[in-house]
Amino acid sequence: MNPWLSSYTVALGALVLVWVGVSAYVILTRALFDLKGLSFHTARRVLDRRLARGASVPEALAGLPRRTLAGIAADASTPRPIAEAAARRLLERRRGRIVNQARSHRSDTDKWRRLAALRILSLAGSSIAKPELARALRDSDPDVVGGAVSILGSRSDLESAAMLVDALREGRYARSRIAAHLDAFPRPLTDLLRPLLEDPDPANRQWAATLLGRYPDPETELELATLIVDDDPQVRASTLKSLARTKSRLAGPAAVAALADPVWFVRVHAARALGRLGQVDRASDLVTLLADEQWWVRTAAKESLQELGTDVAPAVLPALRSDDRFVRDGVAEVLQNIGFVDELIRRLEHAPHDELALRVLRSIFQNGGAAVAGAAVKRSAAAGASRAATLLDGLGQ
Amino acid sequence: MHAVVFWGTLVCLGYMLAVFGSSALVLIVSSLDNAIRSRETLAENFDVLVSSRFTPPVSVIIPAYNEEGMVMLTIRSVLAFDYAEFEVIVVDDGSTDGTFEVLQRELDLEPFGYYERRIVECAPVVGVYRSRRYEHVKVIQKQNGGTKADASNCGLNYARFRYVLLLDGDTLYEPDALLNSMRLAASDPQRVIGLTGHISVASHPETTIGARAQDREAIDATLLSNFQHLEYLRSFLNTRLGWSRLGFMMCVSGAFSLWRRDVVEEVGGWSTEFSCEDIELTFRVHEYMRRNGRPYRILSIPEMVARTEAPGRIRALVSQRARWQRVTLETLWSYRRMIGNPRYGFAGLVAIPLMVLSEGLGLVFELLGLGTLALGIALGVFSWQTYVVFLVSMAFGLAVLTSAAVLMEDISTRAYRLRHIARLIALGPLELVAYRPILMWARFRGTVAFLRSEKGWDKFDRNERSLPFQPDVAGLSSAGDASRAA
Repeated sequence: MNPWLSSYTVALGALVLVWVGVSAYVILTRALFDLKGLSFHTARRVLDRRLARGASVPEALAGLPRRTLAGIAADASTPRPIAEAAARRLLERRRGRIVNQARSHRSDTDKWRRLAALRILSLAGSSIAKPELARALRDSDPDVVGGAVSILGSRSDLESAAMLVDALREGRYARSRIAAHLDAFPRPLTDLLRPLLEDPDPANRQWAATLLGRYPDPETELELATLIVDDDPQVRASTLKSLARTKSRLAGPAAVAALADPVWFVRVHAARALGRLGQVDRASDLVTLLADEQWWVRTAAKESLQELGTDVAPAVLPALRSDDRFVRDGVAEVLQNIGFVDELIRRLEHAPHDELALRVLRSIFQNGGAAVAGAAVKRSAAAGASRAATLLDGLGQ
Repeated sequence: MHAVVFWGTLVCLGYMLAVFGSSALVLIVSSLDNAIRSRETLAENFDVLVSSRFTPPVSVIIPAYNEEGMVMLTIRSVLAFDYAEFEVIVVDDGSTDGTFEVLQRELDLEPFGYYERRIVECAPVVGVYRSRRYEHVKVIQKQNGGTKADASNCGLNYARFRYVLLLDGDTLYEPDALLNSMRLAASDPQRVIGLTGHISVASHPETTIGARAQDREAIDATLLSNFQHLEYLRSFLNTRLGWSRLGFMMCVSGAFSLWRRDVVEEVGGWSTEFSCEDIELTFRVHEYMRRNGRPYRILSIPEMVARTEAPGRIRALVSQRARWQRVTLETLWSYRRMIGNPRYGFAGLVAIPLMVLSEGLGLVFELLGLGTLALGIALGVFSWQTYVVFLVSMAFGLAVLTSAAVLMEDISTRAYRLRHIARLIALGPLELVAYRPILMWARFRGTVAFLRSEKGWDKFDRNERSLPFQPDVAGLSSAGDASRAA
């Protein structure tokens, strides 16, 4: 036999064996998964039946296998009291092992077991949970820190919130992710967050300012207002956002002052704050921002003017005569978006010789750029406003 | 002559072993990544992520050219995204069929004036529309620019949020696609600048998307679709996950590409100079970030994010794959300065040379290998049994990679039933003889087109459907709820 052929045949045999092995593994693991799923669902049905018969939760959980208990505790659809009871039962059965797993990890696989153990300790209300979660927050592995943040976020005690605030201050995980948990926390966190307003790290001041926007409280608002002149623009922007969110009486003057901020995104937030506060008397301040060099600022000003509604029309109409093209375009867009242009068109459809409506529309179309005029012509034609469409066609040109 | 044939065959064999070996190494890393991501998902609190005001909003751009049959299905699947805040910008790229009329009717569009940021150049915009039905949907009607890149750039000019998600107008998306992707971007916003996910194929994706896993057929009944399914699995799970973990993800797929907007703007948007925009932009971003010494990550996630229509005919498949080959060669040629250049890190030292080896030179070696082996048999250098053993070995080598891909897919989605798994595994060894020749022919045509500097984009004909357009066909508007229930 050709020695080449025999070595090839051995290689082929090995490859076929590898293929058979891998394929069998794929099928077996899937079959096992299905089997586990089936036994878990059966156990869940048993549990539901026991509960329906009036058994207490601990009675209903009695006799269920460990894996099922773990599955019930981990399943997001399990009602919280049942998940907690399942975790307590698990802890009763394997306390030593769970505590050890929660304490540290040696390998990547261990890491996820550690997080599962921490979750069980937390659900079971164990006194060890907090120190172990604190230890996990200090771990060098970001997955462990992220998992601990997630578990702490699911708790409702102030001590857990304090741990999250510490993690935020020390930047142990993506601050936005920690902040998301603090923002969803079921209890007010004003006392925990206020000290951060004076933190030397601007990122902490920024997040404290942002998170405090949930709590309308005069004392907090006063403290927040001091950050309007913070050196860091992110802090200034967040402060404006929060003051507007709580509808603080300090928000209006702060936003007006910030309209001239040297940093563009602070001006964006100032404009949005004015829109949110609904201060129609500040419309002319917003109109000045339509000439801003930054598209984002102009857009924020437009959106805020729109938010103020049709009442801004008298304040913005004179700006159609501005020398600045951006201002004229912006005003036309605002008038379009608050429905003012369409209202004029409707009036013209019923009274084609309404001179005032014609004059105003002519001004909008001639000063406000082709996009708004062209769209209005198309809209009126589509709406069957034939007379107005003919008139507008002439105006648009 | 005998020596030339003998050594020629050995070189080709060496090449194939090298490619197989590197694929196996990347597969190991991919498996690791898949396992890590699956565990991460279990530790994540998606309820907080989906409802938080700190979850970054996303601008979704959907370029559409002559997609009257699919575009609303795509949009409905996007509207069903389970995500805190996003806007949808549909760009009708001068369609000559009824695409715009369908959009107008289904979205209840009204024209409005809008002054966009003009960041990148694109063909002139004809009209801007907003939906009366969905306030976060805009439609931009523009003149045809000849490429998806042009339409994408137009969408970029209208995008308002920090992240842009570029999609295809003929692909359907999973309700949790955006959330699964942004989970990683939000956890590391400074470094994660680009991201893609696992895309699957179906002859009629509208019947399989959004439905609960146990209620849908994860694979089609046709062989051609199954082979494409396997190919996508290997590409996204065996290869891209490994690349992603190793820091050199070289192709953020155009059917689902999430980018940080500022980065796309810095590099000048999508290029209209290439036949296809996705791989080129990924190369350009790597080049730009490395050249400027900025830390970054471009990732691929194992979760299935979308299902796209698989060509149902061989002719259509060849045309599609020839274009892919052409654009890969265009990109490799254009960025040849990165090859082996330490300045570009692993991308230049490992990823691009590997791509040159497997994508660029693959066809040459495959043809040479088959030719020299056949010649060797004719000249008596090898026996025909050697030839058969060689082919069967290659078939099973490929099948091992396929089975591994099926395993990873099953672990990450659990969407298959046992019979699906058995069918896909059984098809593995047949792929070399039943499917690879089609791909070889497509690659040959693509290479010839590249050498001739051909450009252009030939869309394949859509697979036949019993009805031309059924907007509510899969109950897509409630797909988000179904997905969460699952």
